[in-house]
Amino acid sequence: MSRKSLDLTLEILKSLDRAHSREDVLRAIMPRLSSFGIEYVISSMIPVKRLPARTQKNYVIVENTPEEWNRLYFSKGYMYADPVVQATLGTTTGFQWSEIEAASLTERRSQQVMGEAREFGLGEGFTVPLATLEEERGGLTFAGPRLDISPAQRGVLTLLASYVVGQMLLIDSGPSERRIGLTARERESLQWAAEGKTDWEIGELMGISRHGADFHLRSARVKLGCVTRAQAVAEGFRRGLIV
Amino acid sequence: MIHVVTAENMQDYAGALDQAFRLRHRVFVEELGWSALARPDRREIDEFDDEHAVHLLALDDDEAVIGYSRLLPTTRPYLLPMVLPQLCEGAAPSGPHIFEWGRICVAESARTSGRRLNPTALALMTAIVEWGLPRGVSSFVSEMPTSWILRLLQLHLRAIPLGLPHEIEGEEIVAVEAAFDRRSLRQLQAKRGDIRSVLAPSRTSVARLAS
Repeated sequence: MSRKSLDLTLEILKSLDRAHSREDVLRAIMPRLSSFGIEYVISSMIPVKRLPARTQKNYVIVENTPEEWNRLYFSKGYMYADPVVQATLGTTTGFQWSEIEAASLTERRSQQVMGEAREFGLGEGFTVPLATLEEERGGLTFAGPRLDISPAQRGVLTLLASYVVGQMLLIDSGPSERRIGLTARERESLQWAAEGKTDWEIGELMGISRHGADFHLRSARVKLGCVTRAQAVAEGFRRGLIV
Repeated sequence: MIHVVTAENMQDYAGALDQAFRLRHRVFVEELGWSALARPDRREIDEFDDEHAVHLLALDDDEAVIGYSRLLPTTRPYLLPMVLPQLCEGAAPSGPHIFEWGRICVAESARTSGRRLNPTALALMTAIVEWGLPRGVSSFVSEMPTSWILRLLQLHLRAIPLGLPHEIEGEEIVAVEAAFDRRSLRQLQAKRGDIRSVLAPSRTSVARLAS
């Protein structure tokens, strides 16, 4: 049984290794997982702070869920009420949604998220928590109306989660760059801010007005999900956007 | 820096190696609770710590051991096939170009709470690649928490599972064989933000030069 499951894993890894796009990745995994009842896959990092919907979406690594569900999820800020997200942050091993502690499902909004997910065909799921080299936390979920997974197959999914995300990060070469796309001007103004320049000085250095400098910095701050300039500078360094 | 201690230069590292065995006891027995490894002298030493073992010692500026791991040749009996065979579906990898990387630990004093990978752990990994490449070593076998796989892939260490994950002492553990090359070294250097070698110059050769 476990030999068969390992062989399946290795076969999928071989296809994943040749994947050069998000579509390749989905093609490598989805057909081989249909017998598990899996129809959808969603992988995302979890932002530390509450972010606007537009920015939250930047944390998604790969997914193939119904577009309408996707839109609903982000526009309603479901990430912050989603018991699966909470459970992902609380463990290091894969879990089925049915194993989530009942206590975290008492909130009305949590029940709403799970109920609406079911309506979109995400009735059951298996979620694998993940952490990157940069210690960003996130996870990968396999979902479908009904899942049928044996213990050995849990192992397969647990392994696959890392390889799917690993390959996506490789394809996108550098997670932070891809997820947080600062414009050249936002990056430049942030770089000057890191060197202790005021708005007025940054304006002079970049040949724009003080308000222009303020505008770009503000926009960089929003994209990075930061409240203060100092936070944005620190976040910029951490993500390697500035040096 | 990382000091590579083998049977050849062991006499120069008697004190440091003793510290390393104490560190192993503190981490694996006292912290992680692997009670089978407990020893009354509080030095964790097993049957694989013989003349074939390669000890990687991370020493700080005061020569205190702040990190450790052990490389074992796979051409002789080693941990995976002898102690944890359930983690490996087929025959355990074996060959002069494959070593087993184990007993990976970092001292309490060198742990970081930040969001970045521990620099001592990263230096130990870099040491394996730096030490291995010129010797024709091209991969390591390791039994590790499944959550490490993604990090290995990010470091361009091409890890392939040798079996399915199993729960061991409360942790989900998987055996992998991870291949590395110059690209892995470049990525490790990039992640460390330093292209200088992590390997300390051999002490015996310094002594010989001095005499």
